[in-house]
Amino acid sequence: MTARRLLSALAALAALLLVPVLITDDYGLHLIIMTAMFMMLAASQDLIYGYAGQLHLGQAAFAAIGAYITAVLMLRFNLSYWLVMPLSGLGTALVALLLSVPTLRLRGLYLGLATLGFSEIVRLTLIMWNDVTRGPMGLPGIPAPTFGSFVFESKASFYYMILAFTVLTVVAIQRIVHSRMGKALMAIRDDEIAARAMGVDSSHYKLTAFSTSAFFAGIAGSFYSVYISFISPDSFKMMDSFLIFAMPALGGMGTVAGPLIGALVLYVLPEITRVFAEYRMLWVGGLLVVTMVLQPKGILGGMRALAGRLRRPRPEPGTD
Amino acid sequence: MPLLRIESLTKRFGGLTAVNGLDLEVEEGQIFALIGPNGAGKTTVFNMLTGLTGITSGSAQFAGRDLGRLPSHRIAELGIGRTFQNIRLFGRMTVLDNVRVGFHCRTRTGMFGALFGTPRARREAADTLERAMELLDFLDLVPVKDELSLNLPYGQQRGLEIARALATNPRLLLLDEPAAGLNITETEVLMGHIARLRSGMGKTILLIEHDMKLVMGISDRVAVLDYGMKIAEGEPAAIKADAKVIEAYLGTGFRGAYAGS
Repeated sequence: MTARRLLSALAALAALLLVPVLITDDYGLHLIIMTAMFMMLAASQDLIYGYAGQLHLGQAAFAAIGAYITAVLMLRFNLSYWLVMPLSGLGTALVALLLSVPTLRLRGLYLGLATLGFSEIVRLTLIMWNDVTRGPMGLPGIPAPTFGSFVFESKASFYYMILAFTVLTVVAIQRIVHSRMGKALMAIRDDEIAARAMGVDSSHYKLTAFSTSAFFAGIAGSFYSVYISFISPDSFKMMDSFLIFAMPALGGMGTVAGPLIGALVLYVLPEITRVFAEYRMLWVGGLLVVTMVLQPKGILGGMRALAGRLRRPRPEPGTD
Repeated sequence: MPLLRIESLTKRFGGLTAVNGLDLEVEEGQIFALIGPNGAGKTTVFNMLTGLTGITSGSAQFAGRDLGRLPSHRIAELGIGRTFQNIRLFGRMTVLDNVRVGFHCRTRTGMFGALFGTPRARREAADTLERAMELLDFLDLVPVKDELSLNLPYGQQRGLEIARALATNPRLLLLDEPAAGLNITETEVLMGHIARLRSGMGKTILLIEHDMKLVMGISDRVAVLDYGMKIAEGEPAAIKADAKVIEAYLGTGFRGAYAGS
């Protein structure tokens, strides 16, 4: 069984590595790169809401912070990307920590509103802090990362970079949620009072969940910075926070594949239906409503239920 | 020195005095029952002892340490475990994982160990699994270990509450109405478990319960609360005969039904 799993993992990895060879169309590869970045954001969002149960509507703001840290450090101080990237993650985690301390006592919708307010503060700061961020004009000309003499310029090279980031993020989050710390987060989600009575320091773990998640979101933002090479306060909008929030919910919260499926559907669908302009969010919203009504456990939950029904023969009438 | 010493413990919620100047001493190894009508303040005492609600005045000392302002998770670390009257399991976690959470304060693995799967982290995880299985076995929950706890029948949920509390390795175990909603057979099984908690595991037990057969059958000492005040304390036989207790709680019919047994 383990040999089979290893084999299928290797096959999946080979397929992922072949993507830039098979898809040579620039726009197609761009869509895949952005989808992978949103998968990273959705997986990190799931750590806060899906596992720790803390309503958080500001993941795009964390990405924006990471993106700006990278842009400013690279443009002003000409530092290597491989130093700037982890610094962006750590800087974002630090901001998340500062945000979480005053919001520790908030729960549910109140916490959601506070994180929404935080996103707005981030956006306004980026617009107003002209000296550093150039305000609404944004920061153009962010240099490409280099590795020795190799320059990350082609779409394929960025694809491999985000593939590595996303895979590492998913693996790290899975390791966390299956550990002692992950059980503590889920205990807080299910019943914070009982968790505390069982010896779980809920404040500590809520802070850790927020800052860990922000770390990954900051790295995703950092990637965006060097990939697009231009950022502005509009790069990560509040709408993106909502979308990132909806991705694990649509795909299936608290699972490996759920946030990834959700990111695929919610990023790619609006993108390929750009021809319908402003109407596209209408049916994305509709899709969300229908999925949540029909299958509260998300797409993955629905597929699992279906697979279970197909595998298990229906019981004979009257045997129950 | 008693394991738990409560002195003039008081809790006010606005104008309501839920617990009023309670004095109580629980000796190591005792099974001590706290009884009284609904709303007498019994659960509030448990909540103060476990740091879930603040103490208005008075004090509680556990093994010589003042519990006063300690947060809940520190109290669990010191060795007070509890169950909840209105079951508070981690519903969307499996039975096994519920017990694993109980081991939280007795294990150390942090983020680093989790991310890199250090030998120490792996040893600790294996050890936790083994000890969790022992506790599940003790409460006959092994067959349902992979079920989500919210899917368990009521009686097994009560059992899981105890298993999870035991995982914190408490010296003092607070059981809040462990027999509520159980049938006669289940209650007898539970009584056996509680007796073994003391004899086999050396736990001290403070218990809130309305089932008088259980209380009188296993307790060494009983205290009676009414309107937040202690109206009687003593051995079960003396409590059964106490006029004040009969009037406030047991009812006059009780003497006829149980006095002879």
